[in-house]
Amino acid sequence: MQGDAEIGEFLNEHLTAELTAINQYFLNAKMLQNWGLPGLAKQFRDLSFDEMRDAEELMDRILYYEGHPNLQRLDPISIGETPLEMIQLGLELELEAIARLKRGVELTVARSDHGTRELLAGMLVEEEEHADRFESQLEAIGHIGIENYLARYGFPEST
Amino acid sequence: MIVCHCRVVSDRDIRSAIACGAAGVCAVAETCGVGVRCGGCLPAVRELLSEHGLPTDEHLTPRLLRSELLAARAPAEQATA
Repeated sequence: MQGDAEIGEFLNEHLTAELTAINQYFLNAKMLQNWGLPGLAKQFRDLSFDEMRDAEELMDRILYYEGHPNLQRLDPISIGETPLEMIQLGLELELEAIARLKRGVELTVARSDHGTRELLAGMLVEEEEHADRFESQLEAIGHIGIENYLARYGFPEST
Repeated sequence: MIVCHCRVVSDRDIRSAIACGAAGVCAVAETCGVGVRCGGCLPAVRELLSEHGLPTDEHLTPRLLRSELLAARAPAEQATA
């Protein structure tokens, strides 16, 4: 089925962001693993896979509309140099995703494309959950300090 | 935050270069070694320059930067030859 051109472009724009997030989170996870923080590494690894699932759904939707998913284009990744910076940059990424998805939902409503609206709204809720988690972590760090907070992540089973 | 992944250069290193007088993309590239391979760092470099009210040299690509840096070094090498 032929899709709306502007919606097609938006889907690819968000796909680019998701592919960037996959890489950002995966590298974060590997670095954290290397730093002996397997619990926190797992969190970022899981986030990377979440974004991979989103990317797949976006690709499916683009192809459904007879468009071409752009897998070549990537935005710059934001790689923190400390666990704290990784959490802060993760939150920034999620907030940008939330703003972008809201714009996407508004566009799909304007075009009466409720199928895509449903897809994007679901992703929006998921990104809000990611942002919420990062925000909670930063709050906890504010209360107990970064060293105390990271101490729990030295063990693989703690997340 | 790591800005250049090819040379592993942080935004702090770039700010430091700017503080020491690097006033454009070429100067930052010369000081920090950034911008001359994949070019993925160039948007961030330009943003940091822009923050300090410095020119962002939008026309400079990694390829052009490599040529400019080579050209800048060549006279010095000829002098020592």
